[in-house]
Order: sequence, then C-alpha cells, then structure tokens
Amino acid sequence: MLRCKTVIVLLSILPFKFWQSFLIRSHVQKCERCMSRVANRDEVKALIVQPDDVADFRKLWPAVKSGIVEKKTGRKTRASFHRRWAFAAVFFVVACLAGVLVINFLSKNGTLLDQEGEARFRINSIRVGDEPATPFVYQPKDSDMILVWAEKSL
Amino acid sequence: MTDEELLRSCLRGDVDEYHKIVERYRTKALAIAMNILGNREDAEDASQDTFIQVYKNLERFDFQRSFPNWFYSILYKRCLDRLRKRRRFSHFYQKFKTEPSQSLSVPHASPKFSLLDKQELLKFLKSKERISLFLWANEGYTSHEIADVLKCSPSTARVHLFKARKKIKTLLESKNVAL
Repeated sequence: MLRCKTVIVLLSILPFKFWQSFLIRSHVQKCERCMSRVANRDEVKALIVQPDDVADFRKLWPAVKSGIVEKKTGRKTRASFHRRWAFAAVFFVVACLAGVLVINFLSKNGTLLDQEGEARFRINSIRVGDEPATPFVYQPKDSDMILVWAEKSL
Repeated sequence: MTDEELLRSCLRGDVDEYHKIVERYRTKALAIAMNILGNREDAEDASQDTFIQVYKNLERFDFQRSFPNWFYSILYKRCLDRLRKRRRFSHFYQKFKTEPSQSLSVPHASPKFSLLDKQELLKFLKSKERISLFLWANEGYTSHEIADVLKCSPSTARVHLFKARKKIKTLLESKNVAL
C-alpha cells in the first residue's frame, strides 16, 4: 500500500521517462492495485474511435490512384519546369547582352543623345590659360553638328 | 496474399495490387487519424496522403521491418503535419475571432460512447498518447512496437501508454462510468 503511493508520487515527480518507465515495469505492471487505477483494454477500446465507427469511408482508391499516377508523372513535369526556367534565364541573359551592345553602338555613333529630341547644353564659364574666355557656339546650316570654341577675352 | 507479397507486386509495377493494401488498411488508417486529429475531413485527407506517400516510398521500404509499423509511423507523421497546419491556421483565426472559445467539458458519458463523445474525450490526450492507446488496445502492440512507430525509446512509449491509460481511467471515474 505504502509502496504504491510512493510509486505514484515518484511517477509524477521524476523528470526522466527512463526512470518513470523503470517504475512502471518494476512495480505498476506487477501490482494489481496500481493496474486497477489505469484503464484496461476494453475501457480504452470503448473510448477511442474504432475502425467500425468509420466504416463508411469515402471512396479512397480513386483518389489514391490518381495521386500515384500524378507522382509518377511528377518527375517529367518537374523536368519540363526546369527546362522552362533554363530557357527563360538564357533568354534574359541574351536580351541583356543585346541591350548593352545596342547602347554601346548608339553611344559611339553619337545618335543616342539626339534621340531624346533637341540637343541642349549650357556653358557656365570657360577659361583659356587660366584667363576668362568667350565661348562661341556654332551650328552649320542643315547639319546636326555643333561647334564650340573659346577665345581669350582681351 | 500477405502484405509482403502484395508490396513486391507493387514494386514490379502492378499498381492494382496496391488497391488491396489500401482496402486492408483504410479503415484502420482512418480510425487512427480520427483519434489523432479528431476531425473526419482532416483524417480522410491524412489517410489519403499517407497511402500516396507509402506507395511513392515503397522502394525504400525495408522488408525486414514490419509493414504495418512503417505504415503507421508515416500516418502518424502526416497527422502531426496536419495538426501543425491546423494550429497555425487557428492562431491566425483566433486573432479575428471575438467570442471566447468554448472550454473543454467531458461529454455526458454512457457505456456506449458516440463518435462525437469519443472525439471530445480524446481532446484530453496528447497525440502520442492517442496513437499509443489505439495500437495497444486494437492491435495488441507492445511498448517496443509502439516505440518503432513513434520513433522513440520503448521506455518513452511505455510512459506515454501508461499516462494515457491513467487519464482515461480518471475520465471514466469522474463520470462514474462502469463499462
């Protein structure tokens, strides 16, 4: 009697499962009094959901079969998915390279600035040999060329 | 045909043999899932996912091992995944819910419990305790076999089982139910 109580107290205070298990094996499972304090198989069976309770299970096989077939083709789908990503990545890189080449080409030929409309610039100050100079801007007729030169102020 | 023979046929590519495995385990799987999840819809989904996953991983199955144990351990993991998802969702849902949640109460117990009563009573047990109880009471599993399913030591499984049985007894006594 005393031993049963001690075991119950120990079971509730011992922190490790190993020790608790040792007490269950060494005492509880052999003690009729302790075993009467836990539910037996019939009591447990009456309280848990039994296979008979769920007998009218929905048609499972069609869903499982379709899932299995999906898994089988899954690899193929994944491969085509990767291929699509590879194509998209290559296309992006090629498009970037083409863009860079076009920009470089246009910059070298000087037409890029003209694309934005009228070329405009401003000269705030101009100096020749550390002396203030006068700027001259000249655009020949019927030409897009603009000439800028500076003349020492006298 | 034994499980092993059916599984070997499945491995040879005979998908229809797997139908027999599904038929053999479907109600047990659903009952276990219902015990863990306490909800029929989730239990059906978890069982379905388990059967698909088992077939997918059949090549990895060690024929030295017990198939039911392997199957139940996968089912248990799927159920835990569902519980985790549900918990995440309920946390989110609780933020928007204004009325207080109902407290758990032991349903009016009678010697013959309805499915709803059982689901209410099982709320007092942890998921490990629920599956341990099912395997012990229905399948006659020992703590070593339960440990194989739960992936824990036999000592731990023994403690889970003991605590679950004690809780059940306490619940029954609190309602003075004699079976």
